Amino acid sequence: MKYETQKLAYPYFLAAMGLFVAQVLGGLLAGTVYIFPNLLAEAVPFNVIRMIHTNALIVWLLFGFFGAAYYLVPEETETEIHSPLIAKLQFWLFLFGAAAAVLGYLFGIHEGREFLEQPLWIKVAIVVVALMFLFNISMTLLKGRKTAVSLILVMGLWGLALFFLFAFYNPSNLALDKMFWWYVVHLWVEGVWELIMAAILAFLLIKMTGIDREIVEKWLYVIVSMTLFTGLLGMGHHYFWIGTPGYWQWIGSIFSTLEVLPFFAIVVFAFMVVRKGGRDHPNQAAMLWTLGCAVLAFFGAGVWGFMHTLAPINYLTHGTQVTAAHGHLAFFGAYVMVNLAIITYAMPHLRGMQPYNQVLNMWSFWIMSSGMVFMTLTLTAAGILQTHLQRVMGISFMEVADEIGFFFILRGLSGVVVVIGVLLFVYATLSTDKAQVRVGGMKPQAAE
Amino acid sequence: MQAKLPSTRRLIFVWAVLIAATIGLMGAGRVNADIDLGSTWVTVLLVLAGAKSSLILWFYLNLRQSSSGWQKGFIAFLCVILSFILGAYYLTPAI
Amino acid sequence: MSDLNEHNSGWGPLSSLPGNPIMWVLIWSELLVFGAALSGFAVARMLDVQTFDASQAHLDRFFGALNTMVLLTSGLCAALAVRVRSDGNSSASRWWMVYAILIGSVFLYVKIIEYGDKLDAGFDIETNTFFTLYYLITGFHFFHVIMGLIILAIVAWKNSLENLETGAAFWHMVDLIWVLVYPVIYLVR
Ligand code: HEM
Ligand code: HEM
Ligand SMILES: [Fe+2]
Repeated sequence: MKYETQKLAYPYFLAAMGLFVAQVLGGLLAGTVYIFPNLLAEAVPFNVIRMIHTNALIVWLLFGFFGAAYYLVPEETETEIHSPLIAKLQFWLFLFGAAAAVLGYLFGIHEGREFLEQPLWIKVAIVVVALMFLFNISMTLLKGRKTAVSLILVMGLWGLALFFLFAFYNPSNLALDKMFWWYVVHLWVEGVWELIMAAILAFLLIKMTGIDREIVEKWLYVIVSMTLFTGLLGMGHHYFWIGTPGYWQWIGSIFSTLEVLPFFAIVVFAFMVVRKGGRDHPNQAAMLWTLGCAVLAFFGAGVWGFMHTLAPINYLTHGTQVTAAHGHLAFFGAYVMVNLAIITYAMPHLRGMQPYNQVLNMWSFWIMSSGMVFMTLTLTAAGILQTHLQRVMGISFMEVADEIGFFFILRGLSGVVVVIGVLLFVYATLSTDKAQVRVGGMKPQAAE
Repeated sequence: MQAKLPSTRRLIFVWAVLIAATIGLMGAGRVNADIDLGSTWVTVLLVLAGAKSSLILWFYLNLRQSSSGWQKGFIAFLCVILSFILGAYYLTPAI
Repeated sequence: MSDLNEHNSGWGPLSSLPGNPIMWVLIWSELLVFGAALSGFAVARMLDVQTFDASQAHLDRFFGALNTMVLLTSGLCAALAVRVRSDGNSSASRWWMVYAILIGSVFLYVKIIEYGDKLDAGFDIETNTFFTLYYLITGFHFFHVIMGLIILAIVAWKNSLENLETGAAFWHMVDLIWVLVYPVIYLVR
């Protein structure tokens, strides 16, 4: 770690991991309710548990992105962060907002629009946080060296804030409501977040393989152009049946099918770079998360996304468990894993140690990933069966729910595996491995 | 890359061929008559379209100077698309 | 980007194509989009020939052919602009680009008349699948013609050889797509 202000990332990563644990516990609880439908129905109804699960996810991923930016922007721009004070204030404000939101949810205070349930004043706080952050990072970038990695990262972060503004527009017409809702949700995960992910992966690959920056940057440009070309109009795949004109079926099917290409390019890119540059970087665990991210993002977003993205297929699968299967593997493969990759890479530096507990961290990789993959498979099976029984045969929703109950037990079990993987990850990242510290010859530094 | 560009004369010649092919296309496609074409003429249409596209690629876009991988890739793309369209035409039930 | 060799190095296979490599990423993406759209058109026609053939009869096949020739001729001017620029003749190159733009604009004019006629006759994007696809495909192409003209204007102004090659490559792609769109949508029946 070369720059003092990179340390600003540390609290962000800690908060990210904390909320990650809360998120998967929330998921596990929601999954349990699927098996025992009346569990907690009075105290904490399913919709609230679900809200905590998904909101915690988004918030911790944002904490991770902020942390990643504070960690890598100084190194890329070769300058200290413009204002450490803003970074610290921003952290506490964001943490406060997140806590207040969750507390509110528990008391039933929310706006009930999936993923955007936060009360208005919290949304405003999020915008303030984002503005503080963007100001800070952009000033740093303006002062320093401008690399493709940092430019694309900052572009993605600006886009993230910009598209969030659509969360404030909530027309009462349900079709319009949905239409603009996707401006946030789709244009985030299949647009600007992809730029952030590509930039972080590029940074990690440059650092860990020592490959020529030139080559990585060219790939980055290709990936980013493909993402924007396909992802913007690809939004049409959500406009099939919400009251929008019929031509969206064509636009959505064609462009979103091509959205698979940038995800595929990321896989080719990552493995090509590692083959050329070698993978003998000491932080083997970070390498594993980086490559795993490329692969599972391709499967979760690319393969599982394509599976139901053509209008005639989506006609049947829309809103079934197939969607949940895709949502889980895509979010996990792309955005969870890229965060865990940068955390695994940065933490040893931030804590002033050699890479440590690699074996445990790699175990957590395999446990968490196989848990998620298995969960995806069970949900896919449930979804296909549900589609067949409910949409093709016309059996009622509740009867079908009984038929596919078995898969929800399996999903719950794989959820337990995921939670174990997550706890192991947190332990491996925050613990101290005495032997390795001694070998490294560095004394562990107190946090902060 | 500083590939050799086609000469002015050659470009004009290619243009003349393209225009001629378009006139051929108008004939094969009976632009002024509302009659069925039948599979032979539709095949002619699509082959002409493929030939014109290849000329544009080869000379206007100067693909003849690029690597053989790209040349094959573009031609394969044209072949796949046009044969798919032709295949759909052949499979269309007669009215 | 004056130094071509430096700029185009490290792009792997993309560097053997003229102009900026990112333009070729775009060209391939466009070809895939239009290829998919035309394939979709062919399948939709297969499923409903009557509607498609009856609707197609309302198109102006002659205008479509005229517009093909317009684009081919404009494309020639663009290719000549690149050609004479590489011979070092910068001002002649500008003029060829201006011709390319002027001729290219004729395409828009003809197409607007065509759209006007169709709309007056009561055929809009929601009329049936044929017209949905007609408007989507030709409309998307129309939008590219506008983009192309803007790009040509920019490279006529900042006319390094690399820029000209890049702009002309986009324009030829627009041309190429129309060469495929015209027979499939207007003629095949
Ligand atoms: C890192 C891991 C996880 C990620 C990224 C994740 C992501 C998500 C997302 C995006 C949704 C909303 C899906 C949609 O709208 O279709 C969701 C819902 C849900 N998740 Fe997770 N989740 C994770 C872990 C878990 C775990 C471990 C469980 C435990 C069983 C779980 C159970 C659920 C349940 C039950 C729902 C509600 C589904 C419904 O409404 O039918 N999740 N999760
Ligand atoms: C990392 C990238 C991606 C993430 C995180 C992601 C996540 C999600 C989530 C959470 C949903 C459920 C939204 C809801 O209704 O609550 C969803 C829906 C959908 N996604 Fe993705 N997705 C990604 C990429 C893709 C790609 C590349 C495709 C297509 C190739 C795709 C196709 C779809 C489709 C068609 C739906 C709608 C499903 C339905 O009708 O119920 N996704 N996605
Ligand atoms: Fe989407």
